[in-house]
Amino acid sequence: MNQILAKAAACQRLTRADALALASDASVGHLLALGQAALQNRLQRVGRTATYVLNLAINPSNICDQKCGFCHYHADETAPHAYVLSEEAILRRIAELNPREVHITGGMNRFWPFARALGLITQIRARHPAVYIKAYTAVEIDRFARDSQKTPREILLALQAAGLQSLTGGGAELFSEQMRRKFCPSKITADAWLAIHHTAHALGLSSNATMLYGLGESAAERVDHLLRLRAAQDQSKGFSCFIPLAYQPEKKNPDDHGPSPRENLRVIALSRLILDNVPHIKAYWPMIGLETAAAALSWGADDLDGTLGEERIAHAGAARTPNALSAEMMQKTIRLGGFTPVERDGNFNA
Amino acid sequence: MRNNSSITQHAATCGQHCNISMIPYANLAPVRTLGCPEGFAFLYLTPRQSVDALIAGRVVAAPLPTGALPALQDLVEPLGHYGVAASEAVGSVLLLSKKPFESLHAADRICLTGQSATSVLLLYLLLRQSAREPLDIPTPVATRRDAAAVLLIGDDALVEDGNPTYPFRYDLATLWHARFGQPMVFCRWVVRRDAPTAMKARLQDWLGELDAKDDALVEQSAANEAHRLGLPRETMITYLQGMRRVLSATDLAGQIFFLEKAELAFADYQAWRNSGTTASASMAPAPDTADRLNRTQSLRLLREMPLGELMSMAHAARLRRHPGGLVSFVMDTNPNYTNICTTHCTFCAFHRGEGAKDAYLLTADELAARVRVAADQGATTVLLQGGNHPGVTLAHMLDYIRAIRQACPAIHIHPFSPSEIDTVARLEGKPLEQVLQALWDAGVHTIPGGGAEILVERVRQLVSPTKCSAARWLEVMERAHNLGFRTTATMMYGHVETDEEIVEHLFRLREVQDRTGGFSSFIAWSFKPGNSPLSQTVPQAAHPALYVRIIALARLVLDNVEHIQSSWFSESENAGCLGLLAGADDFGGILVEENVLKTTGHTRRTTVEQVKTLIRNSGFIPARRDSDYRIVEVFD
Repeated sequence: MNQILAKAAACQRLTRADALALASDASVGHLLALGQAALQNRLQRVGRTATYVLNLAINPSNICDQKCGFCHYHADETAPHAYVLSEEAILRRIAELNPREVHITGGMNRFWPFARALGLITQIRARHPAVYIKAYTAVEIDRFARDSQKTPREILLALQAAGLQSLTGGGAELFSEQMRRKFCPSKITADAWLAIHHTAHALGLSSNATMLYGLGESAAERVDHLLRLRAAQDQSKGFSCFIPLAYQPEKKNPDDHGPSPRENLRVIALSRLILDNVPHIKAYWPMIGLETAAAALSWGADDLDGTLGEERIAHAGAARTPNALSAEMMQKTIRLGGFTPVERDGNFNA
Repeated sequence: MRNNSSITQHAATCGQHCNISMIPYANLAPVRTLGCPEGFAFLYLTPRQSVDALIAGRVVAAPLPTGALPALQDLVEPLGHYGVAASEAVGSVLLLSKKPFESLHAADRICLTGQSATSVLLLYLLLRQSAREPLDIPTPVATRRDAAAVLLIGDDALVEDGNPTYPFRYDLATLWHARFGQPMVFCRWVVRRDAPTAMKARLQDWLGELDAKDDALVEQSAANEAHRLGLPRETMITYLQGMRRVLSATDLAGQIFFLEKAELAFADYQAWRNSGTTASASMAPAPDTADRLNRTQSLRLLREMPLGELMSMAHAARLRRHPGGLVSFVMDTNPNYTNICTTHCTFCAFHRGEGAKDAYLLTADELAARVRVAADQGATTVLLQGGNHPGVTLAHMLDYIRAIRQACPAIHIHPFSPSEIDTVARLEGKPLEQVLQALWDAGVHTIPGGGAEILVERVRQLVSPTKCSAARWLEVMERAHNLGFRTTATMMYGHVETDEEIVEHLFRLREVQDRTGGFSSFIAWSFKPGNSPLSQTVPQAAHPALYVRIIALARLVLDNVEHIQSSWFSESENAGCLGLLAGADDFGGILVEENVLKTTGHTRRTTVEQVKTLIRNSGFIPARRDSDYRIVEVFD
């Protein structure tokens, strides 16, 4: 184990057996050892800094026909909490906040078809030439393609021409077939998700990657998910950042705790050590909390995402975090983690 | 000095409970499992504190270190043939050495810190025996730095395994037996001679149960002790079985042999003991001063170190003290007997003026009824605080205690912060000792550490200008410790203090603790702005990650405090859980009633099941404790 940890700390490539060994020990002692390796690793990559971005999360609608078992965000059309934002409202919010990055993801529905999704990008770009536009998951791209009888490549080309710079990383969930069958049987396959990102990278778009955890998956399922991403990145090199997404428990159920801080730190460290070819690991504070995010900077994370403006998806679950933060709070979180805060743009440039 | 026999007489005439010293080491676990005889209470003391408590009359009976028997022979008498004895290797007194025992000589240093006089005396007699010349024996020092050997006793010795710095390990009981063919008696149960005959008989009957039950008690207590120290159950059983708590005739002869040897060498021993710069007079286990953090280093840790590294360091320190993976919690209730308070701290939303519509002062019966309700819901401890009410006298305080005890005889009463004790002493013109002694005589032996805020005068002038000063708070605690009380220590941060002042707070606690050893735990929480006046200038609560940093720093700076709390309640569940990974070993109380933070809008409720889940999810084993930090129940 010490040899594996030393390899990991030195940013060397881990075998599947190495990765499995690191992922299989849940003890506190191992968590601290993983942290030390991941800290060495991230210090070599980015030094004592951690980044954040002044961004705005836009979720155009919560109406979604997918009904994934882990999602507390989706709503039926007729549900009292169903909403559809207008372009006008979205553009007004962007103008108010003037973020450096917009991050757009929504549900799968008939209210925001491809034409409208494309139009939104065009309008944002027209009004905000400098904002970094990161929008839509591979799942949404697939849906746009099927609904408009186009290939994902054609969809991506159109969006890129309108001003899109990056795909968001959602919808990867867990690549494990078994978990997908259980929790999101109607979602695109892992292969389809990876293919769309591959296509995007080939066009020069960048993208994020994610992994949903805390659903009772095995250590092997986590490791295999990360290794598939690593293999994909070896080929296309377009993933700029990996974001582990902690399952958010239901608000109604006080006995459903979701992943513990210990589990959240463990997954961050594994991600950093296994994904040796992905430049950034994000501690996504809305899902793990500000205190764990601060600690996560020592477990391999180097980015804290952003101020978000108004996050809705995690907060439809039991997330107890605020749904927007000031830049000051981002800086404070990073400082209390023991690092130097650096504001970045959407493309990870300071 | 107070009247030595006051307690025993008082107890005999009033039927009120009386204290028995109990040493918290594993080797007395079977006696602890026997439980306390009716009308008595255990007071948890180190062997050295036990001696002082017997002399002062704070306890009526104790397992007295053998070495102290001659000096106290006019004061105490043996309680039957009970104690702790061994002939074989049991790992209760260990010498770890860099070189063979026989080659230790005057140029070497031997690290002695908080051990009992008996173990040091035993070591001295053995060194003397193997020395070529009478005075060619190592110099005692108080630090491990440059020491050729280290003496460990009790649980410290028990959990010591394979320290590569010290390849030679000697069990002193085995050495003693090998050299002299005699068993070693480490302690003897004694009772004060002035105790009433009936009381002596009751105590003797109590220990007499060991005659028949010792084996069963070993079986019963082994699992919890093993958990507490992180050892296999079988190891604990072997350890406990290797010692005799019911002494044989050979043991009693061995005790006499040891004391004769000691008497012959006593003058030399005293000169030798005083030759080192040891902390022999201190009751606190004095830590290795060379390894201690100073203020500058501590400030750097608080401000700069990556949080993960700080957590790792603190966790390592926690493992040295608490090697098992237990995290304890207590079922408690925090009723407030009044919300009327003349102190007007700016951070407080709880206090009311006497004329306010919602001002209240509970009668003793009302308070007792509330405590009864909480006890029925499972509370085993009542943390009782006010208000510094101008009309509440010492007599009222004692009434509260009496009423609670009457309504709930089994509940542990943990009453009155230093600020209330100071207030009542000043209002009644009584010395602190008198107030403390009255509480002690009423059966109180722990005091909550509230009202510490930040123990720096600049900060107190801003947030609690009329509360007792930092120096006075520390004085109340030190005097309480000197009387035998165990107390907690707290800190409320996140308002107007600087990082330097957080560090200073910890150092002031550490300095008192070096002298008294009386702080059982450290508890921090952040200022909650809520409806308090201070929220006008400090509108935002401290960042929850600061809580984790403070817990880790407290574990590292407070190297002389046994327990560090990380609470699910104070900040957030996440911060509480991260604190467990940052050196804390206690998760605080499961509150049945809490009022003060509620008035700031900070309300959280939880259940035993939720707390157990949080502890388990953090990688630890939940265990319920009592207010003396004894583990009552382990939840595997």
